[in-house]
Amino acid sequence: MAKQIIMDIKDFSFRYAGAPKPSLKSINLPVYHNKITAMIGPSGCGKSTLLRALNRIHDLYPGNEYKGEINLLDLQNDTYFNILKLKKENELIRLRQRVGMIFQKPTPFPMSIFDNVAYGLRLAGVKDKTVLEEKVTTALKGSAIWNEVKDRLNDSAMGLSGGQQQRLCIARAVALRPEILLLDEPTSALDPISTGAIEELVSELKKELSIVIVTHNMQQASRLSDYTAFMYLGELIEYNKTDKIFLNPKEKLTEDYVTGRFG
Amino acid sequence: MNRLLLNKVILVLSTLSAIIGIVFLFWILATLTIKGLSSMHFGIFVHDLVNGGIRNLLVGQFTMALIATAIGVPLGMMAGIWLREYSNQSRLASVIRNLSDVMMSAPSIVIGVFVYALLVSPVNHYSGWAGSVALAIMMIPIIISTTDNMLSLVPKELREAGIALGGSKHKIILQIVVKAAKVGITTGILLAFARIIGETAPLLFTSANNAYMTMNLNDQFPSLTVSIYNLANYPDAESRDLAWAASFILTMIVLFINLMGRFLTRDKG
Amino acid sequence: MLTNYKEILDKSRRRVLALASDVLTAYELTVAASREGDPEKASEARNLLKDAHNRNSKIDNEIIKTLALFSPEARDLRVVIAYLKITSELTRISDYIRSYAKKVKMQISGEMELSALRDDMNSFLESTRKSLEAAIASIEAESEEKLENLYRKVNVEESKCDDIISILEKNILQQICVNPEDAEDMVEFIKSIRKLERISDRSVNIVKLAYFAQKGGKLKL
Repeated sequence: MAKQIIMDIKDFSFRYAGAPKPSLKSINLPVYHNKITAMIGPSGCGKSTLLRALNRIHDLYPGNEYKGEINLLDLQNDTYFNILKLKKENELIRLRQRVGMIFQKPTPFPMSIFDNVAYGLRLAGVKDKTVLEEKVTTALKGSAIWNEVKDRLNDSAMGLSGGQQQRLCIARAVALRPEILLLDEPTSALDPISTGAIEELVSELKKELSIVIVTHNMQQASRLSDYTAFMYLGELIEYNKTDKIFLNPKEKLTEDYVTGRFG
Repeated sequence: MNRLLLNKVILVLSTLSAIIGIVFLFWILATLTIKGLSSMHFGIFVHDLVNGGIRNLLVGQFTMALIATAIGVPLGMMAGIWLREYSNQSRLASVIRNLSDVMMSAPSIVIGVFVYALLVSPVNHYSGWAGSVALAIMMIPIIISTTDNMLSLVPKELREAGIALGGSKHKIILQIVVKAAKVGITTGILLAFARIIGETAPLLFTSANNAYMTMNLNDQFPSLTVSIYNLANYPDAESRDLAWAASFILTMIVLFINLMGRFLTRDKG
Repeated sequence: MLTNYKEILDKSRRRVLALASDVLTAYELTVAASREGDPEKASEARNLLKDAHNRNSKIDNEIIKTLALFSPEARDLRVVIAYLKITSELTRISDYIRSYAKKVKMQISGEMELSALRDDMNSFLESTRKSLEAAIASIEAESEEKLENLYRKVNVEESKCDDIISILEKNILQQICVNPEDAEDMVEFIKSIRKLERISDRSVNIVKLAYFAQKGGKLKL
């Protein structure tokens, strides 16, 4: 079965508003369906910048410059469309419902656990209480946090621990059944046990959606991902199957980074 | 050796200054309490000023302060939200922020005179509305500043998380960001209220005073603070005693509201 | 524990155990072939192990991948390194068995007067088998007690093999003196027995590696 590309990044360049030089230069990166793609590289290499372009969240801060294409597959009629061309707010909203994002710092909203998970659903227009309950329960179960919160769904989400809050954020995102989930260093603020729980969760989620994860922890990339992209100073240096990158990288720069000989 | 000596000298001086400040504070409070309590009798809460009580003054002061809040809080919050969420980096935003800060330190009597020219002089009589407006003008810059600052404390990731779920900007601001800052904003409102309830100068030429109980805002309106000013100047001992009692009660009210504000922002475990 | 990590560890373990089991089976077939004069069994034994080197490479590459991707620690690391080296030992043992099986086929078809050495030979083959059996049991063993028992057993059988080999060699040299025309065949025979003797040596190594995997300490073969 041929590998299906869910998001095709073609010759993509990006410049922040008012920056003298582009932060990303001519990136070519196919993201494969139902696979975990990791992006690694030293600080400032542009991996988070690239991730945040995939759901157009840079648009919150006006003045940024895009070049090239990021083509998202429409699973229904099997065609691609360039997400960089979207301009209207409701088109961008629709994009973000298909491409979810989890941040480094867990971001529970100041409301109950139930309302947190239901938030995206309510934004999308789901009003029926039974439907909401069912979707929230499914999302919480699928995020390995149901047992810990099932008796306190109406309690404030702020009372959860860091690892629980992050799993809540994941539940919140998957409640919308997105096709792609973007994870920006999701475990760097968590302890090893919570990290392990979230890695197992991400590994499971791969069956239902495609995942792109930015991590500064190379072992996390090697453990979890199917494909790894190594970036440096805004350029994509090497992109290949994970076992090739960590066993047999082609580029010296990649090898230096992976063996810890950088800097 | 020199440094240790200097250290001790500074320590002694700063402790002394603190003590002096505290001494005066307690002296004021003590004087107020002694003079105030001795002049208090249950009657002052039952009679209006015309009969030697302060009932109508309390009602009047609170009424104007509440109306001022009803005007000032929505305007101030909307302005604060606009400043922080919609136009954060623009030149206009920083100009408005500066102006707002200046307004906060504007002399309250100047505000009173301004409202006099606007709302009293054209119709040739004092009114409770004018007093409320004057208080509102004092309140708005404080609310703007508090809202602006409390919203800035909300981490940007929270907004991004809301957007990432497909929310539109205004929904995210109202449902998430403002909610996240709600404790700080509420405290700000409370403290602004405590501030204006103790103001005198803005009311002097706007609502003036009224010895009778009235809820007609088109007329001169009873005010606790203006009354204290007037009563303190009368020659008879009764009036002055009443002034002490009124001052004590006003102080207690302001103190109570401030303590409530502290309670709301207490460190919860 | 991540499922793909667990899966790759389990896969390596299964492969090593399968190779070990085939080695033991092939040895027993070869001994039976010699005893029963059945060249078919010897062929079967050789067949069973013909892919041993490929299987070795497969296991090696999988373990290299495990090390690269999953950075195993503590027992996981020791187990994986032990598997790497045990596979190597098993492959060498399979080489010895295959070459002996070849000799057995020739032995059966040819004529060699060996009845005098029969008893010693049988003891030797039996001790070798026991040491191999102990080694293969140790790969799966987990308790310290069991491993220590197997270590004792394999050492006992290995010294027995050493002793019997010396006796056999002496006897064969005597035979050569009596029948010099058989010298060439006899020397060939000694060579193949020497190779078999190495099986018990390597079995001792395997048990040491298995012990290291479970209990740690420093590796010393």
